[in-house]
Amino acid sequence: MEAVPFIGIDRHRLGVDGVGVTTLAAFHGCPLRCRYCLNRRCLEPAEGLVRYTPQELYDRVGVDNLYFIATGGGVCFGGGEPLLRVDFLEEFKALCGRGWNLTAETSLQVERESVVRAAEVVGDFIVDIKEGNAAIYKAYTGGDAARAWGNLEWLLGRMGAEHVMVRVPLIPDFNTEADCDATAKRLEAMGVTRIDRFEYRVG
Amino acid sequence: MNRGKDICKELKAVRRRIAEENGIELEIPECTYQGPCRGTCPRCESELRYLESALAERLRMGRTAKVAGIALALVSTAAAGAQSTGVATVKGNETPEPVCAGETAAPQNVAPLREAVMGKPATMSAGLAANPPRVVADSVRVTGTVLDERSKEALPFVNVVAKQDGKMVGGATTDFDGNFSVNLPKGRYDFEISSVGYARYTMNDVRVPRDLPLKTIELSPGAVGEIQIIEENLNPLLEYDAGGATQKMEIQGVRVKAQY
Repeated sequence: MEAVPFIGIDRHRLGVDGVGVTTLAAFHGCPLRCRYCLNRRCLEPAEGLVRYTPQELYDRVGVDNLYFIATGGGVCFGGGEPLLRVDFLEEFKALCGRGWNLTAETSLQVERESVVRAAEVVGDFIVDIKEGNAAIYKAYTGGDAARAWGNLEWLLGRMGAEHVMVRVPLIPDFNTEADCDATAKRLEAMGVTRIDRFEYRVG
Repeated sequence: MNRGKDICKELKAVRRRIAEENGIELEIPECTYQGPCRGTCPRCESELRYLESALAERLRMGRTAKVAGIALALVSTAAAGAQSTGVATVKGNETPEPVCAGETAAPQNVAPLREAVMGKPATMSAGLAANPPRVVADSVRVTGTVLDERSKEALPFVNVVAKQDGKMVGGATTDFDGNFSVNLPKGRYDFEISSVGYARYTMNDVRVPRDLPLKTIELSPGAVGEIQIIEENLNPLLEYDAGGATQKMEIQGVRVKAQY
């Protein structure tokens, strides 16, 4: 497999990407255009970015192998949108095997097939669902809410609620607390048990 | 609050636990560095490399190494709380950075990690426990054992990759006992077995039997290191084409030549 661009690698994350010590590997590229994107580098041209094959990334992040194994951690793939790189995830999982847990931070704004394939190799998902109101979702991200929510429903059935955490942001100028309440209620009705509500502070 | 210091403290605790569980003498002095820190530094990195070497040495001496899951409870929510306040501040580009003011670039001369055997997993990751490897209908399971050619010791964490037309279609990693198991649809595969510090071992054009139901039997134990097809037909069903002639799979184990 050819090397793919990454916008960064962040070691020694404790308890924020799931269990244990994790390393975040952030892919370049995203299908959304969120107004307050935290990682705008993933939307710019990929020139100048570091590129890794699965083997190279495995060797790179493997410096923390002992921490991963001892704490039940591993690698969290984010970005950008990691489910645009399912081939990479599959090869990486074949390399790291059962010793490392893989997590994906994803908008689920991808084809269903990518979610299905990712579910075979990723142990835990952190879903940035953004908003339940389709108009607000479109205004903020430029994307189609139905696709993301449909994938979320499928993912819950496949993985179980214990392996899917959903983030619900309060987004200044786009949604309100009441919108977030409605989104959370909709998630609970779907069976989501792990909801992370937080607030964007635009500064 | 110095988040880096909190991370450093947590990682020190993990290193200390690994050392204690394995009887490794490791003095971890109090850090007196006052500047900004992302949680690691050259000294912390050298302690980690030392632990890897010490664990590998234990295994070479035939002793066990306990690492898997021993520090599950040590990564506290206190550290997590320092990193997640319920507020995400959008300041512009917040791409993850390659870490620490005090850290050099990721060490390039690390001891081969795959030589540091972690021991049998105390627990599977939660993801795998909920999602065990899928057995595909009309497939067979290929198993094998990987040994060191000189010492005959089992080699854990060796990569086993099955390829078709140069593309990886399946793979596994050997466990503490050097065993691997991979489910594959029936067909022809090239197998590559690799591990840091050893020459790559390849087996090309291995035919895995086609028209057998997915039932398993245990074949009679052969010599240590046989690659076995677990399935219901008693005939040796893994056939290897060599120069047009079909041969039985009589490979006497996968021996990975060590480079010393």
